[in-house]
Amino acid sequence: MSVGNILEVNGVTSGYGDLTVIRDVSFTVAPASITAVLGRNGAGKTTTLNTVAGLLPIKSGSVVFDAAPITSSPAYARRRLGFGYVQENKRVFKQRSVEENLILGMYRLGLKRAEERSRIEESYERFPILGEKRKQVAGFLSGGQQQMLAIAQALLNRPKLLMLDEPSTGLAPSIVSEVMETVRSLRDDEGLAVLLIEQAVETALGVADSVVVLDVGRVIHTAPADEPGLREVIENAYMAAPADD
Amino acid sequence: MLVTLISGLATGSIYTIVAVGYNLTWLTAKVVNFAFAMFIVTGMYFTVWMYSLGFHPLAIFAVLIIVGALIALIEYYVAIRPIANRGDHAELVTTVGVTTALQGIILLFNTSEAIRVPFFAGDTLIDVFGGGRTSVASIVLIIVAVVIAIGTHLWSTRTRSGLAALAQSEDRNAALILGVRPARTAFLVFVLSGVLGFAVAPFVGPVTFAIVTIGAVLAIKGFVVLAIGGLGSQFGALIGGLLLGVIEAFVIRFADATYQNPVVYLVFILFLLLRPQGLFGANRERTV
Amino acid sequence: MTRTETAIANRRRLPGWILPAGWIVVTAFLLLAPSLGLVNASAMRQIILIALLCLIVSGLNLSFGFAGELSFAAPAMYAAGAYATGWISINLINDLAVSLVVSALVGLLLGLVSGIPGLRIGGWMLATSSFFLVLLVPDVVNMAGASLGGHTGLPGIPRPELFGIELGDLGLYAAVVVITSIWFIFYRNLALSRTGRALTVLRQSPVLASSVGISVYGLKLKAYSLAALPASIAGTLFAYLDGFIAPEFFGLNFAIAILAAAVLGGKRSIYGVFIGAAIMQLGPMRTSAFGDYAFIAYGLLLVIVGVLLPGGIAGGYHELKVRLGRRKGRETVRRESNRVARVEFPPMPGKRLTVSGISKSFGGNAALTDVSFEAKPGEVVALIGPNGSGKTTMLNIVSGFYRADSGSIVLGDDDVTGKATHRIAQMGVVRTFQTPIVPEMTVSEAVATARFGKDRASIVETMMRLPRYRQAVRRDEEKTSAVLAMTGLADVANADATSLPLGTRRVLELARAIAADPSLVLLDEIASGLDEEEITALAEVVHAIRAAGGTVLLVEHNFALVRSLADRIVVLSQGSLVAQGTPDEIASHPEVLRHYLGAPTGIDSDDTIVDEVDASEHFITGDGK
Repeated sequence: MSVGNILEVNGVTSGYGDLTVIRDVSFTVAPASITAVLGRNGAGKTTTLNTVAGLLPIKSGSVVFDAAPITSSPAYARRRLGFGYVQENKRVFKQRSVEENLILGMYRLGLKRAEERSRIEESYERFPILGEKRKQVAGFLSGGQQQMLAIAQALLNRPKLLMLDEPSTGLAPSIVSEVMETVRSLRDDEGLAVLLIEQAVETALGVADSVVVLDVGRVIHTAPADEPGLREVIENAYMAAPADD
Repeated sequence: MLVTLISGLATGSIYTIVAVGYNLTWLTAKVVNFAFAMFIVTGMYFTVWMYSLGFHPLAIFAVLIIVGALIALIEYYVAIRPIANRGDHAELVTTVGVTTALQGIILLFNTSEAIRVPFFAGDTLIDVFGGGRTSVASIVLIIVAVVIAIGTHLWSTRTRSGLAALAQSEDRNAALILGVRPARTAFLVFVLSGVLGFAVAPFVGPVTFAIVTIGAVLAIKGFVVLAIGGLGSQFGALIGGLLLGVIEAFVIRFADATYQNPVVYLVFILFLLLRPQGLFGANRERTV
Repeated sequence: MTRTETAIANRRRLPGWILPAGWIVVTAFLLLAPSLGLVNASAMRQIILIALLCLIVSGLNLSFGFAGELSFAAPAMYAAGAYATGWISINLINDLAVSLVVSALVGLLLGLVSGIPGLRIGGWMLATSSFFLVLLVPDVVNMAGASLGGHTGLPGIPRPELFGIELGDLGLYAAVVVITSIWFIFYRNLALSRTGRALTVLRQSPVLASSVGISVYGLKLKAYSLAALPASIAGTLFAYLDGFIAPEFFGLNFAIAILAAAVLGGKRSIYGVFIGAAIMQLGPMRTSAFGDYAFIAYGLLLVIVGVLLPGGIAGGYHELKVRLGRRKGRETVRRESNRVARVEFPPMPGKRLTVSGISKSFGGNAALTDVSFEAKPGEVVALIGPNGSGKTTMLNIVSGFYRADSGSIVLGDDDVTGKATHRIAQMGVVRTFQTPIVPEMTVSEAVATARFGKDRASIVETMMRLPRYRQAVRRDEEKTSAVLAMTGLADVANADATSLPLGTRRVLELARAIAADPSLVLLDEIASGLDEEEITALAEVVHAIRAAGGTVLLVEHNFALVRSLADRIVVLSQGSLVAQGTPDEIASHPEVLRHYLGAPTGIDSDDTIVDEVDASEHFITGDGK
């Protein structure tokens, strides 16, 4: 565990109620880098992110964020520490408008009105389509637009770590490119650390610096994204045949 | 005619306030507090009592606010929070229990007879155009109801705290990760509803009577308002409540008091059958 | 109260004659007690009042405890029966039997009519409309004018006659005891029956209920109407008791007392009703000295019992027994890996599924666009695609949980497009869920629920245990044990279904599907969250379904599993059909690989403007996943 990591997950075991989904998961995320978490459905990727976000209680292990332990810190306190979390399935508040969603992105950050206004305008610059639809109820946006809103909302606290759960799901390839471009530029221009879950392996590999592969709730491989032979390891994890006959 | 209308609007104002109380806790915690109407009734008895002791109106309001917050707090911790995620309509039973218990507490110190509640600005009557007289208290109550309905509507749609409260009710986890505290929100709004119920009593009392049995009746009619106006809409609560009160007043005036409840029931049933989401209710998405 | 109800099912089965014998003994004892000098006139009156309260409370249990809808309407039904009896016996004919029949019909009718508007919404709206009915009693009585006596009451109800013989105090007492006894036999028969279990399913998961062919609205309406019956019958007996009735007897306070009795005894308990009613009737709350504190007591009771003891006294008792039993070391059955040597099912009536041109949008987002494919009997068709491709939406449309915007679904010779979920289930479409929905009952009972929509006995047949009912139960048992044996669940047949681990729950859902003799089996990601051994076991069962001639449509992420199971694969991406063919064809299809694993960033190989699509993949189960 090198000094200066934005996020350190150490031997974390967690799950839902009595059910344990991830076991002894460890990995780190360095500043200004993109770490992809890969694995097939049910491997525990979302559970891992939810645990880091504090939505699930940790059964054992610890989480360190920006050199401070946050294992016992409640979920609602983590936003202020510098977390941004774009959950899967474009979870914006569908009954609220675009602008209201953005306002909620700055909830209780202690910003002055002028600062809030300027950050909102920033969001509209980054995603012009949101600016066009600022008064629209979020539920009526298209999937791609909702995804952009979710990302914009997460970025409003200028997070140190942005977690994205399958942001490309159900999006047209062109939109996916846009999203990944945005993520890349956030890393390059603003030094943002990104933890990215993607089922679309190629998409993830195209943008990640390092990769964590999960299977059946455990980490089976961590590597830099350009490690030779990585693709095969991943494909095996995805397409692994169950003992058939 | 006009006097009937005003009288209807005044009674309707009470129904509006009950529905607003229901909406408040529904919007923020998905809980409908059957005991809310009883908050108002209990507040009425407190008001009468404090008047008899010669309290100044401002002191009365202060006491009501404190008592209201306390009783709501107790109800929340005893009857609401422990059953929060049980899902088998447990709060239907417990909130009815709280209503009954409050009724019993009132009866410990009062008889079951109706008591007049004096209006703090005096019980003057004014002549109404077209014949008849109405009380200043009635007019004030109508204004109070409008203010409350619009005020709560504005709170939930225009303020940060209101927005956060609605958001966390829509999606708890999404709100959590943005720093909203759902548990605290639910608690605070619940206590607020207690304050509202008690504080409004000195306005409601003079228009009706302080009588224990109207707690349940108001509670039921509050639901009828929700059916008309739409669950979750404060604006709907305003329109629905006033409409209901006016319908009742005209039935009493031109037909007979016996037909009051049956007509209301019919209106209720019609809305349930023909427009279940109410006039302004959200067209809920199809969740199976 | 899951474990307790399962505990009831699991307890050592007493010899079959004990219960009826006990019933007869108690009834006979009560009947003879006055003649034996064991009860005097005032005790007789108390027993009558308790019996009447038991009748009313059992009705509340039916709608609240079993159907899950709280109704305060009992005093209104009580009043309806009492006033109907009063009017008829004064003006038309004074006969106990006639009065009972009339008030039963009046009650049922009133229940039906008042239930229809409220039950569509349920919950608070139903509770309110039922409370309202009670408010209406004095008004309706007044509107009827002198014939019902108005608010001062209706006096002069004659002593009841039965076939011309006037029943004295003793006669009425005997009638009350007998009628209550008989009703409780019916009530018990209904509670512990297929219908009772259907109500449990309905209560816990309307989604599951629809998917096994239960009409949610229909069953609720039946239970709600039926709940009026004991109350109105009690009204008849009450009218005859004092010869005088008045609106004030049927007020809101009585409604709350009934609720308190029900909640105290246990809203799903049969015998708890007696406990609750007895305590309410005899307890300190009815004495005048206590009068002032009665309300506080009722209120506190509702809150305390509602929070701490949701199953009432009866529930608490059973919970205690379960806890003690567990402490003695009886563990929940841990399922050992027991693969059945060879899984084979009797022939299944699989039908051909034809999906044509299905399109579906949510809000502005197109989840499915013009998708067509077929599945034939004896074939497994797999629906694959990345997240957001619309596969689960398709499954939901075929099973009737969503309605398509356009296109058609044909099953065999029947067009099932747009039909109600439970109707589609009754036509033999069965499904599993991404998160298994498992009701609180034993495993074999859970599997048997599959047959409820297809093999039906009426409520009357159920309550009276008539031959049609018994035959249905027998067929249930035959089918269930066969299916359990074949799926390797025989050893957990009596275990609490909710105690099973995920893999076993999936097998349970499969077993439930098979038990329904399905024409189409829809499987929703059955492999997710399972280990290899469990997946293999499941795959064998699916193979066997195919071999038996069943039609299987499988939504799955696990590509290797799909390769080994499917005869044909249909690939969806962003709502459109991208490819279909045999597993080998698909595995080497270049488009598929690209869609499945995602395009590398920066390469936009689509020249056409693809609609941004979003599919709400989260099918909302009862668990709110």
